[in-house]
Amino acid sequence: MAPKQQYIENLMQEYGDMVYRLAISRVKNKEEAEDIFQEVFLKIYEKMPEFVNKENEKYWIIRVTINLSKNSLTTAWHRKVGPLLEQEITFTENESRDVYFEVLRLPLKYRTIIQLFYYEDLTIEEISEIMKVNSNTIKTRLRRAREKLKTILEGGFEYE
Amino acid sequence: MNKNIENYKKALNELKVDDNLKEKALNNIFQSSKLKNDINSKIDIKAKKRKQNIFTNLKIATYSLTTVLAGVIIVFVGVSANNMNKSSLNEWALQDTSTNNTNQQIIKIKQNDILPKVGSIDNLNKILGNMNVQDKYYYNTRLDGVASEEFITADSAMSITEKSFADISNTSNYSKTNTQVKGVDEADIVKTDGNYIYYVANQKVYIVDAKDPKNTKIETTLEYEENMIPQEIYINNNKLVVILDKSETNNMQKKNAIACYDIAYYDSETIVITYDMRSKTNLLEKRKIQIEGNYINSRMINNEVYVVTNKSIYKTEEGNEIPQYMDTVKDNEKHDVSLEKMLYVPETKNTSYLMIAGFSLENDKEANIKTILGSGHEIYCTEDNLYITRVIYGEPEEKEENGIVSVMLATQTVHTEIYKFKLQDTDVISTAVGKIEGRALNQFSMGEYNKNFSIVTTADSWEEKSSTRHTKNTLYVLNEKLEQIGILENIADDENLYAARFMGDKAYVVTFEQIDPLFVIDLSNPTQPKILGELKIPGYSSYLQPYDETHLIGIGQDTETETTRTGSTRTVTKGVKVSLFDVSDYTNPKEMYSLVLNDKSHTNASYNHKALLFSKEKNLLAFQLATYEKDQYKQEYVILSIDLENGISIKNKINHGYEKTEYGSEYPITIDRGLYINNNLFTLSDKKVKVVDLQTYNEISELNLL
Repeated sequence: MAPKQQYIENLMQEYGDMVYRLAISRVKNKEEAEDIFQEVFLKIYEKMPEFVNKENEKYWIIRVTINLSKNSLTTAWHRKVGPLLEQEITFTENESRDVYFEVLRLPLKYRTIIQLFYYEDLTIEEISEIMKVNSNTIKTRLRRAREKLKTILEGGFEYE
Repeated sequence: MNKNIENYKKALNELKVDDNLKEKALNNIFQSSKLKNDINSKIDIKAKKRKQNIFTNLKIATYSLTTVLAGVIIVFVGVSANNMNKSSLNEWALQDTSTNNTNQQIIKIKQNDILPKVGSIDNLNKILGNMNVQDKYYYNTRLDGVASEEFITADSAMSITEKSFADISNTSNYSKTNTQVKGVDEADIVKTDGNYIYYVANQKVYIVDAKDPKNTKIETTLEYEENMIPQEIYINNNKLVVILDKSETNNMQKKNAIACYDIAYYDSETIVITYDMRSKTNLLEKRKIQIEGNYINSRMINNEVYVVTNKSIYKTEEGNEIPQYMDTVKDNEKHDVSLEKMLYVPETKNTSYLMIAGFSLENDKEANIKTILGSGHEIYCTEDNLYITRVIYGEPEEKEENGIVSVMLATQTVHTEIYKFKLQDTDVISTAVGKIEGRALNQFSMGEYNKNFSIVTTADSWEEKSSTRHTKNTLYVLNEKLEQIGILENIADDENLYAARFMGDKAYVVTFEQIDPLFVIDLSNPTQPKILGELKIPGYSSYLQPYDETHLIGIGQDTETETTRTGSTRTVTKGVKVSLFDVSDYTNPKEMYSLVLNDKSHTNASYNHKALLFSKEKNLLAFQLATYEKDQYKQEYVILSIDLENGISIKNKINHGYEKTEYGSEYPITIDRGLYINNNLFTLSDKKVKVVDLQTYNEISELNLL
């Protein structure tokens, strides 16, 4: 396999799930998330950026994913297919399923930050850099998201 | 840790990309232009506000051959009579004038292009001036990084000539690139002449002395500038042809990677260097041809090489950019391509130039550079004709309700435009243009038989209310002028096309939804192609390799249908599946043998025919295999034994070990290709060349590449 193709395959192995999770939580549609997943790697394949370091690589991929799902959110296509059907994704445990869908019900600007902060383990500064949003704004949004979740889920989303 | 956060993480852990999807995505990225459809589906409404009815008038843009006949120019060339061109047109001309032809001179006719010429810069501007909304969309989005029109595929065509499929079961004692059409060579990252191995890796070309398998050694390494990346090579006697991609802007590497996303789209140049290899230790650069645009594909027929590129048209303040080329045979200057010779397709909108460079390895005649306003996606090439397809997406209608504009995807059309060229002594002459509905999966979807051209396409449609996607698979038979003469509709509607292969007057087509039907289609009556038989088995083949005249090898995935918790069913892939089909009874194709490799495995041979090593004589079938078991990622090269009596079995597996990345993690090394010389199997990766005995599988030697 050509080095370029191998590179994409390795990247997909490494970041594929992250891209997909991020996309699905943004567009709330499985098929569309799959499309975005493909587009992200197509974009990398076309551009073949060389990254200064590993973090850089990850940030860039997150940013491309967010950007691509941003495009799709604004289209009539998205409105037409409607929100993700909860039946479409299944989880082995009901508790985790409930939490997941509660987070998914949050407004877009909150749920992505929740995911990046709690799941991808990024810092406020890193999220701020990726999303090109002031870190104070990120902090505020994270706080609001936690407040909202507290009203729905017992114990909320604070670290102990 | 907080219980909710823990549960949230658990849930996300379960959200994983189906391997099916990964493979499909890789497939799409590397091979097909299918993705553009998806991208097109999401065209921003703002960019689409201005409606235009471009495709209301969908007539087939075909031009009668009679105009060619009218424009025949007769040229006298001093070549010997056995060099005569086979075309019926030429025979006609020859007979007509042969009485005057007393000495050894024979007549060759030079046909005129059937497509109209651009002619002048004014006309070019006029043609490009009528850009439609879709084109504007591309113009706009190129700047913010959304996929451009020039989505290039890296692979090459597949189909069967009138006589037979490409014969790779070599009579020679070394393996050759697995190609599509007999007599038409395809470039690849590795070639061998039985004594040396030429291999593209690590941005270099290695020339490895393989005469003594116990003691392989690097004879020469060709290295290039930082922004020049060798793509593929050809060898021809003592000549080596290296096709390189040169990116015009390499600031992508220097700048902050995040900012890269906002950097304008960049184009590359394609460079073709020919070396004299009479001395393997001291290669001489003989010729360099530089053409603007991304490398799409190439072919070599005898001593003639044809390279196809695609270049986006940039509009600057000075106007439309005209592509440039350089050929060191002429001089070391870049020249604008001739507008006099530039062609265009009337009634088609363009955002790019398609360029074809034809040159001979035998002489120093200047390369023929043909430029067409248009673009190319897949190419299919026989010894006489080159077909280039281009996928064109129509404009879906828009509907406005309560101030919300919605795009009616169901109304979007997909068409494939086919450009046909006659190959004549490094010149390419456009002989026909055709247009059909749908898009071809890859080059294997095309074939030529009895001068007719066949193509299998898929067209999507959407049901408005439920947003359900419907697919329609159709086989078209087009005559020499690319006019439709036969059609076979409704081949497994609502199933996806996974593979196709044309063999003489038969076409084999694989579709897939939950189980795999393999269709045998008869083309012997071109006006009435019909399905002779079908076979339904679990799994699918995404590549079909002829074993002999009546047997096919299928490489794909085994699948199984799962019932989810909610009661719905889904199909999941289980691992690489190799099948041997018996098609001697066309009405009743059978799966004789099959073999399923490790769970969750996949192979590049399922989407790249050049990655497959096959020899009927040696009962050998081998390819790269990646497996993911319990989060363990392995890379191997698997050697199978295949024959009609004993079926398919695993003979051996080879691996190249692990490499440590600078971040500390370990990656298994991918084996790109395998080839054999005499009784030795050479496997090649970025890191090493490993030789094993094909009988005992004992390791003979290992050479590190650096």
